[in-house]
Amino acid sequence: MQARKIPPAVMALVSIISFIFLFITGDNYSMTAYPILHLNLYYSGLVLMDAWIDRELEREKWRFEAKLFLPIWLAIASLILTFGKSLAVLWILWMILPLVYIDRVLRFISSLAHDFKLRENLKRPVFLMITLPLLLLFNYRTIYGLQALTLLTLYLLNFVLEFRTTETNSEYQTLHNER
Amino acid sequence: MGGSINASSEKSFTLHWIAETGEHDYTVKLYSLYSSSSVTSATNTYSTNNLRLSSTLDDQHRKEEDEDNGTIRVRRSDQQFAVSLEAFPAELEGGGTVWFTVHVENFENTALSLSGFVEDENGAVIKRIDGFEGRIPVGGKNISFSYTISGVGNHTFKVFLDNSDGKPNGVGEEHWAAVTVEVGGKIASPNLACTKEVPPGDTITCVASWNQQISIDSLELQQIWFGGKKVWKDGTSSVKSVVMDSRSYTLTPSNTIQVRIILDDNFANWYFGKSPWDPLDASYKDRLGGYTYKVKFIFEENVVSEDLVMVKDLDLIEKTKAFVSDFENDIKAGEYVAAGLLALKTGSKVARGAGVLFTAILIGIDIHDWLLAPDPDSGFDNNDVVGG
Repeated sequence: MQARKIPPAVMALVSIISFIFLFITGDNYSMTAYPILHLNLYYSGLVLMDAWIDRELEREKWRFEAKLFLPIWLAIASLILTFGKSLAVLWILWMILPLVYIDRVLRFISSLAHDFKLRENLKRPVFLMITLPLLLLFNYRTIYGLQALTLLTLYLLNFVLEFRTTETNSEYQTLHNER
Repeated sequence: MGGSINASSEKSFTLHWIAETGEHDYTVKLYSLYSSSSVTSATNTYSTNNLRLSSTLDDQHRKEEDEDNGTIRVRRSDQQFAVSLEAFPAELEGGGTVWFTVHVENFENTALSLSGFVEDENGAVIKRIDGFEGRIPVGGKNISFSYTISGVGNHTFKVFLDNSDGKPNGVGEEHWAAVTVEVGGKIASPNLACTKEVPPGDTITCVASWNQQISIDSLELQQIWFGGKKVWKDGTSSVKSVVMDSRSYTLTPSNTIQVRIILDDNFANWYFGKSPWDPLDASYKDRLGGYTYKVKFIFEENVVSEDLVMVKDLDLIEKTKAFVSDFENDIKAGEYVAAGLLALKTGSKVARGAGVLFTAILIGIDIHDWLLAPDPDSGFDNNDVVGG
């Protein structure tokens, strides 16, 4: 199930440039747009590790669900930070708990994906993934949000490229039937 | 002393003085004396710091021909180094920047490692000398820095250097030197007293009180500066951690003005203009430690009072205590354990992938917060006072 995707080198290069840019500019908006700072940090890591995650999830049953989960999980984590650092405990809980109960989370996403036919129409999961970053960007009206969106776009391109081409793949059908 | 000299000739005179260690200024004056026989003779007047030997001859019978002055530095035979302090300008109107030069002479045949400090009249250190700067090559070295002075009156600065521990405690060879800078102005500065030393996170209390020498009836406070940043202006604090305790901010002979500057998270975030990336770390307030800050009260008519506050650096024991007691740090340790466990857990590949991602993000945050944390901007003046 090799789909045509963005070369891992390009992803890694973009994320490293993003990390450097973030380390240079991040302090400028650490007071005014703190959640966007985190969003940039998360998505830089996500894009950097995309190829590794790909390999890690090679034969994962819930590959689609896991890939849908990652950016939304991270976006919600940065959304929690809009409440301020006094509620940082919530942030830790959000970062850790879904990972502890990852099977339940993925099963939940899987049932949502089934009910809302997310696999069948890729616009829907893409919309889900882009909503929160867009919300944060418009809320803080900051240019640095575009950095996060660029990174997410790269990730989404890979996501779309992969699952658009596997739709007709028999492997998906067998996986789907197993469920 | 006296003597005679023939026309168109040279003659040497020897002046005797018992040398004392230290730096001395001298002036030699040459007089010609008139007497009935019209024989010309010379008298020398010789002075040191406090010693003046002058001729008892009547001024009407002598005429000054020439004079010369200079400096003699007297040292003990076993002395390794000598130090002197110079300020330019030594007199200024209303205050401003003064350039200081510490002259160090090295009498040894090898380089010396000295350490010490320059302090103001209240004993607050405005400049530390140690490390590379305290390394004095054979011959000597000048150490220069600038410092802004305001507050009408005389300001005495002292330099201390020694060759052992940098502390005036009688251990090793120790030398002091002093210089006085005179700040002139129409109106004398009110007295300002702030907490001398605080640990990070504590409160600094500053009290401005009337000075008997002030020639007018009252002075209205207009601005307060801390470490080069304006913290209060015309009745409004720049940050809520700066609290004006006095109801009125007009200083009169009968009242004082008290202000509290609370060095809390809120203040540190405002002061640095940035916040740590770690959500569990509310501010960089510990980074305020280890520096001396200038507190400046600016009254109407450009009358300025200032004082220095030292924010202590946490030592290792305090840091350890802070770590043990700090609930946040406990959680932080916990989050690493959790992330580490998740990264190693082989049960779910998704949890493992996300756990590694989470750990990578935490490491990214910590790399930033450890390496790129801000420091107070002490400027390019080579002194150790932030905002002075």
